[in-house]
Amino acid sequence: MKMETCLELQAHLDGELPPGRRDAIQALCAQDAEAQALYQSLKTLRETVRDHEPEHRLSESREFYWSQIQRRIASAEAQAAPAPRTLSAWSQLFRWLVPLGGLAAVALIFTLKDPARPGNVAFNTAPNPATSVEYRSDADGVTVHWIN
Amino acid sequence: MPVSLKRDYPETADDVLVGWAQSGDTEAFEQLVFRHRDKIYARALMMMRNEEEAVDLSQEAWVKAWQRLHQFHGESSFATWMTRIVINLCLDQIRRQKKTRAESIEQLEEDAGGVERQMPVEYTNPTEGLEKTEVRRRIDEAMSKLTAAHRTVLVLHEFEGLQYKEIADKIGISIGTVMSRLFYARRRLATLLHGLRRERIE
Repeated sequence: MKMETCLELQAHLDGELPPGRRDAIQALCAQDAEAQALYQSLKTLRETVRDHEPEHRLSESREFYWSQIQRRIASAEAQAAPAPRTLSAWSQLFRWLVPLGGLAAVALIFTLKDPARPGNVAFNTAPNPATSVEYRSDADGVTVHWIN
Repeated sequence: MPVSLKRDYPETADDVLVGWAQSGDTEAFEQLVFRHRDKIYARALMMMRNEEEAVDLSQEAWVKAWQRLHQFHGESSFATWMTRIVINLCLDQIRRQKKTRAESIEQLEEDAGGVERQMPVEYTNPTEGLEKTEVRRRIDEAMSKLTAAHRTVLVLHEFEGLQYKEIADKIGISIGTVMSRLFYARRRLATLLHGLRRERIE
């Protein structure tokens, strides 16, 4: 028997044979002993297997099995959680540091620009046409060069 | 008073437990695990034929189920939905294993075609007169001797009730290959069951 015919017999058994082939395969089963035997053998096996699905039981206790699942769920949730807190703490810090740093810089410039402040010295060192002013604050330990 | 104290989990139907679990009740989910764990494990074992892998994949299936519980809307029973999850995990695992090991000689022969026809057609029922538990045991033993490719198609068709096209889509093979693998698996299983019967008689 051709392989194609064997597969058609099986498809007929499983109800998957195209309507156009049903009559031909039914006729083959009725006339051909070999085809009929194969069909019956497949049918018997199919029914036997479907009616006797093997059963298996877990050997682990309910508590142990569930505790392992819980652990896996917790682990998966931890992995799926948003970026670590350390990163978020850094960004919080930078959020405050940047404007504070800017304010401090402006305050420092204004302070150092005040020649009246004790300990501050202003003098021009650059030759013409460029002008340059230098401030030095002994109290703050800072020297600023201002070039125009 | 916590909600869990008022709920009678063992007496509650699956669909209600699923609803509770969807709103975060882990005790409801635990009850679902307890109720269906053997079936899910059995399906994994049937596919993988390895107890350790079956336990691992069945647990993985429950984790996936918890994560995707919001996707379950009751189109099928919860047990069916769970079984599909564990089957998909088993198929992924089989695919990974297939990449790392050579195909068996048996499968190469089957792919070449024709071996099914060389097997004699058995006219008798190889399990006739046996106790139900003994038939189950013999079928299990015979199925363990099939290749993963043949066993998978057989399990999906006979136990999951999938049609040829559904199996083809799930595994990623043609309908023709599904048909030939199923045919080979059935013929081989019949031969193995007859062999087991003869062994017992002798």
